[in-house]
Amino acid sequence: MRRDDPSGRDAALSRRAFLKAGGALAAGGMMLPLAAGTAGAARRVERPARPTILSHRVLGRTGFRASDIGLGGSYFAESNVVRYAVERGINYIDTAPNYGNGDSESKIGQAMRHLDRSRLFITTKILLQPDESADSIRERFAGSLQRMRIDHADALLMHDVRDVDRVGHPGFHAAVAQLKAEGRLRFAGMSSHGPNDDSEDSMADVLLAAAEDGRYDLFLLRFSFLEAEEGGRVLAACGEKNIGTTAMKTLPGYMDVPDWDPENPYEGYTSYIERVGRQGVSRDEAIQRIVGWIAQQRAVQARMRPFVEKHGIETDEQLRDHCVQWALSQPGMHSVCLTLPSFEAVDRGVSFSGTQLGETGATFLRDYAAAFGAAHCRIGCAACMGACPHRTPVSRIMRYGYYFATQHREKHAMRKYAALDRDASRCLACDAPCAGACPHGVAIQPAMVRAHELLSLA
Amino acid sequence: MTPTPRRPAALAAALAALCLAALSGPALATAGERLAGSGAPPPARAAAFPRPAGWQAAGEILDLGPDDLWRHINGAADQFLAYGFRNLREGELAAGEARVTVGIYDMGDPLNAFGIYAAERSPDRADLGVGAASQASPPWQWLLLKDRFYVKVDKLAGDLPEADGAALLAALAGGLPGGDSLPAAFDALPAERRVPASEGFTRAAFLGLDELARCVHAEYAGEDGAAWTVFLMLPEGDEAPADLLDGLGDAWRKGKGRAGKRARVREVPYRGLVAVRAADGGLLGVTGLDSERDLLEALGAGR
Repeated sequence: MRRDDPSGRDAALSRRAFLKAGGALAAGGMMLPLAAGTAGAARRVERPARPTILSHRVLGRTGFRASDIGLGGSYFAESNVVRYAVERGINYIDTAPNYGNGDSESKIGQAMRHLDRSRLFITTKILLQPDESADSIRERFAGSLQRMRIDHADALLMHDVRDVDRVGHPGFHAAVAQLKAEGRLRFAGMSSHGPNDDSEDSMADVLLAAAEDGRYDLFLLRFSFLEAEEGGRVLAACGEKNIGTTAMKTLPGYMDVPDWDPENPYEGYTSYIERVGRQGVSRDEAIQRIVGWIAQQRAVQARMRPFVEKHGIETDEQLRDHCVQWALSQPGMHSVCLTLPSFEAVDRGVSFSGTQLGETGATFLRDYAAAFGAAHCRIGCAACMGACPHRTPVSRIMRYGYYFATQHREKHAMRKYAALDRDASRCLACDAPCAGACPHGVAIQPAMVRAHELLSLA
Repeated sequence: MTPTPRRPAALAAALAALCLAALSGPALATAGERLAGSGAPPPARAAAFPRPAGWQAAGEILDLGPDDLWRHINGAADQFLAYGFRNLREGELAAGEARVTVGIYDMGDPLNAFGIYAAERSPDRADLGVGAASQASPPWQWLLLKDRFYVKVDKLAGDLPEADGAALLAALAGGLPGGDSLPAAFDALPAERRVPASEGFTRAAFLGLDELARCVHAEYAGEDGAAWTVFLMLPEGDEAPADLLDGLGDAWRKGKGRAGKRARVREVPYRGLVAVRAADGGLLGVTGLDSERDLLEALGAGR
């Protein structure tokens, strides 16, 4: 059972709090080859010295006029940053007791001494066990209020939901009803990143079911331009039901490629060598893999140079600017939550307020998606199902490949694959009627062949 | 006027995490071209996991790296990544009715482990005297710091008396390599008037300032009721302290008077002034005192 220490700190951690990929840190993210010294054609957001929030949107049926930029509370180095963000105009704050083992909520609490509670919308979240009682939930929620030094929260979100069955959680709804009656809670909500296992449901399935349920007032959803279709369906449903919407993980992943320096190896490479060493891989072999991988990355970067130069991509900030503006520009999105751990980060984040994705940005993201998105199978999407005459479970096999390649669950993935009635071995000699079936442009047959090779060690 | 731009630590962590993700093998879910070939590691085998006497292992052992930590603990992973997280091994142990989850976080070095421990510990809990640091929040959680490892024990079911929890921590500490002392970097901070157990390590945005990274710090208390913070910003690689001082950015100015010539001073929102100077081992800084003169004096004399 997951618990919070009612004396002031978050306590336990659900052992199986797995999450679906999809954010800036997502292993399923995208790669942006960064090129130094290219022409600066991509336009950046203008950043005044002391920006303030310029735009507010009504948060669905809550009726609250939320700042279009919200404060994501995954961690703060300093409680005064919360105070500063509010002074800059942010009035929507999202946190959870497991962020920093209660540290995020505590920092908000320290800042609250200086803030006008009545002007803020504060949400916290709760990871639930399937059979958790209302009393247990109320006790943990009390810990959150205590850490934040507030007498009520505006919303309590069921955190990281990956099963449609969880939508009707009896303990949660009983607790919410009691907390509302006591004046300690105003609204109920849900956050979802999507599935992490083939037994789980997609983010859209979960949130659409929650919208239909009728008891949820607010959603926090994974929302990047590479997954616009799924997020768009959720936003449309929220519009119909007048549910508030907030976004997280608006950035796709991206990376740079440090060189291999045996005298001063990059920390990530050292970690990799240690990790695979525990799996029986020799240091020399691990280094060989690293060196080979770097060479492959350099080759890809060379091929992508025209794209990079066309858009003048010089900094990681440029991609972030466009991604945040894209999320802000989507109809029905009310507030985009950003992690803003420093004063400078607050200034950068707030400077997005009131901005929209311009033509340059739209072109940039379109080209980016075309260049990189076609290699990215959206886990949980099943739009290509039905295109295969052999009824091969494409989405499932791609997911197993994802387990293998990105989650390091090789045995698990191979076991799952071996248990399938229909695997991808037919794809090797197929004339690929699936071509064009992926709405995101993934070349299905080559990807399936690679998945088969991987999962069967063919 | 803005400080010299630096890549935020969270972003650096994200980049590192993605590098590791990419190293894991052919990337079906990422840019298709970048990992063609045979880069996949062999099937994972969980490293040896401690099983203290009287406890039985229950279920599989998770072995997670920087790329998949956030799937396990969602947004809470941000802070771990910012502190250089390398690996988590997590498993369940059972003794009678009691069942716990033991998570052993390898943070790469003792200072990073101390940083995440200090961020996640409760400020009002006594140290248990196990490992380099430890505390209990009964009946739900026990925390342990030892060398580069941060260990979290969370009770899942049954009763776990405080003494039994401490004994479990001691057994776990005994199975981990390394020493039981705090990181040596804290030796550089003045010992006089230091508030016990106030030490911390902030890897990014100390005081909320992007330019102050990798800071060990502690609180101090004077007889007159004054309270202040002393910190040491550690260099990255072979950076010289003087270079750190020059790289602080335009928001910093020289201190006033003769005492301030070698110092830099800036305003921190809601906090007042912070002053720093180059010192052995990095940039020594002080904040929390009322006047610039007091800050510079404290900075010079270590107070």
